[in-house]
Amino acid sequence: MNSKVHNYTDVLSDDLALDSRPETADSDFQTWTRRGEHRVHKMRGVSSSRSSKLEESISLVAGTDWVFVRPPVHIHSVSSPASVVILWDYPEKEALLDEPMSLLPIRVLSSDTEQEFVWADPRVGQTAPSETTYTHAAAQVNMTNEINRIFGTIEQNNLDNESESRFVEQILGVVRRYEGMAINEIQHLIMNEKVTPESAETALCALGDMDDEPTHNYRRWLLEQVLLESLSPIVRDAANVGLSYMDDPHAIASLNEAIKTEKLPLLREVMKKTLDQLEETQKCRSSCT
Amino acid sequence: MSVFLHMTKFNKWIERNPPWLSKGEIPADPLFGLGVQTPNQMSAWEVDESVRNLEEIAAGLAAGRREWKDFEYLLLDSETLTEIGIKVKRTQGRSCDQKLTRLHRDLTEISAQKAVKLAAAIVGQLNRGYKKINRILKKTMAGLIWAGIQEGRIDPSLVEPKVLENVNKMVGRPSTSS
Repeated sequence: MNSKVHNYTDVLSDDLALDSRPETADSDFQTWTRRGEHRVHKMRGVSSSRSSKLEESISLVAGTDWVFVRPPVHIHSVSSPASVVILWDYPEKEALLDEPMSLLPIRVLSSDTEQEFVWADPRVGQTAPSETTYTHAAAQVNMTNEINRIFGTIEQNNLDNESESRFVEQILGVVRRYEGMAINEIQHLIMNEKVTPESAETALCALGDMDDEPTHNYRRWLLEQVLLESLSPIVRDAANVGLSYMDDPHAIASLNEAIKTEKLPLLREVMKKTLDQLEETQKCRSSCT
Repeated sequence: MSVFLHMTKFNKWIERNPPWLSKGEIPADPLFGLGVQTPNQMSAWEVDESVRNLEEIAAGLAAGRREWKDFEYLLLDSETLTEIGIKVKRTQGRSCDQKLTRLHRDLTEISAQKAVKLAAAIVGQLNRGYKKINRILKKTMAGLIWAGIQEGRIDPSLVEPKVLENVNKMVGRPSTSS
């Protein structure tokens, strides 16, 4: 995942090798592809008749997509972190294109309920009263550097108890501060094998064990992605352990899929244990409600 | 034949047959999974292979650990140990379940060559499908420790405070300081 900050004009420019034509003709809902990988969606103000398109759009978002939306926006059933650019109401579209903007990572409030997002206007330093978080470009660069430094330090030294505790404390701290953005960066480092399996293991277990509601869905998403996609058995196992620590039945589907495709018998066996635990948790919660 | 429980790191045994391995070799990770300690020995606990006894041993040990994490262990059989030349000595162990301390054994006289043979034997057994390794998840372990405390087998004053706090949280009881 490219963690560099892009402004709106960059995303649309040839530098990012976007296809020149949007995939759809509808000017209110346009999608570009970048090198056939990342998708950039742009949506104008959403009325109720277009809400199904918004759902469709958001369902494509998986941490590597950028969505440009105009408020008020209703986002339904988002279960993955997203990098979302909120466009406030410029009277002139041209002015919008010239205005550099940072990507505003949006924390998902709830994956089960419909929420109206309140957006922030960094031009005048106003922050939304409650649920959105955002960061300026410099902060994003700082976050990336900090995470890379934290991993770099632990990999230069032995993973003894003291340095491991410090590493865990730092990783959890940066995730609390930067939430989805930090998770995206950690996902990028782990999936692209830019960190050792041992440090990935420590980070993933700690993130699964972390008690922090605002980042819960982000962290679950990360663990599920790694469980399904990592090429390292140690790292897949760590994601499995992290999911058992998190004990969230929403991960059952991912575990079932991982068990189907896992080639190593021992790893498959422990994934089944985690699955059993989560299914038990789900049963308990259903009988309690 | 006796069976011994020995704590290990589970992920050292996951990938036993990487594609680059030459015939007759085993990878190095299982060797580190043995966790041989100074002086050339391994700590183990004799189990009677009944699940309950094994779980009681695991709970007694997990309760005394400073870290609250999954409990991962190997099962070693006396036949394999004897074949390799590893000696089994009865020694007093430390467990939060005081009745089980008599079950502690030191596996001794472990040379580097014997360690390799032992790792290879375990790898072979795992490859043939024997259930020689297991992981007890934290949540399950919380229940086992709690049951041990309720049944009077585990002395709560011996349980690590962090473990006790987590056990209480996981079984839904208010935290108490020890």
